[in-house]
Amino acid sequence: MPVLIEDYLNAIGHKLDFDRSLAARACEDIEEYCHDVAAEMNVHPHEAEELAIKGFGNADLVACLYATSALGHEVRKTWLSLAFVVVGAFLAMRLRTLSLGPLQTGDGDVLLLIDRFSLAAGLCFALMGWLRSRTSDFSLRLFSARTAFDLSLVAIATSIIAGTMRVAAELGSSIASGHASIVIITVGVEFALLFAVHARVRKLGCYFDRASAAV
Amino acid sequence: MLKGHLDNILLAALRAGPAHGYGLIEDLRRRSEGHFDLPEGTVYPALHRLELARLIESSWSHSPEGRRRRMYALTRKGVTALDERQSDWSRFSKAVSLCLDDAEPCPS
Repeated sequence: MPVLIEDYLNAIGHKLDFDRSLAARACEDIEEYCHDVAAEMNVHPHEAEELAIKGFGNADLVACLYATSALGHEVRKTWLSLAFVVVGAFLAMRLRTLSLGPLQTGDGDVLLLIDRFSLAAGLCFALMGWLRSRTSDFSLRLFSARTAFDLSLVAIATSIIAGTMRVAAELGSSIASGHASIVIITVGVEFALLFAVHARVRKLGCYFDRASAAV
Repeated sequence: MLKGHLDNILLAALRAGPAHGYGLIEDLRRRSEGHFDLPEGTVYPALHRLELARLIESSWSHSPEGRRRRMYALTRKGVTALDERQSDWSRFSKAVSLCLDDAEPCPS
């Protein structure tokens, strides 16, 4: 590949490195356009590259426009992922309760409140983020949706940690009653979901960063 | 002003049949008699956005020289959305035209 277009595509790929498929799509589109210009306008490939680069604009702008084009889709995916983790955490909690029975009172009561309240808050913040992203004011949308998704993640993490602390105290008795595997598996699944959704929220943050540069 | 209508214009251009990105840009330029000289940097991301919204779909085809090309086509959802948007636009443009054409000076 000639150096001129290669540098340009590398720059775009670097700016969209948080999503390889988006970076690949942008590069494919530009390469295709470049070939089309060369074929349809019957110009030298080098001239076609210059026309393509001129037509698409600087790499920053192209990256911004592609990130903006996919932002709505990513927001929807993130909201659904957060909702899925909330449902998963709730089911894990119910499964533990069914296996172990009601946990002892004491500090568990406070943790129970934190666990339940945070989980509900996580779902509300995620919903708020999704709704905020649909408002017409773009600058407001960028700020509020992102903050809501971050808060949702924090709330869900708080719930899962509180739930884990509650069952940790019961782990000794659950081993004795043969339910340790349920505790370990459900807690493991909750944390796996949490790490996965954390990666998704971080990726969405990169989308917001890149897209906000286009506003 | 065109920015808010870019999606509609692209959907409308695809009503005639599947097309590739370069062809769409050229077609719009020709049909608008040069008024819509759309920058490529806005058209391709817009096509990607429409595809993510499932209003259009893309598939690979081959150019006469044997080169791979991405072809875009309207989906059923896209046809429905286009019909609605055209209807909205007709009402809106008719109302604006009425206001502009029949505008009379305010009575003093």
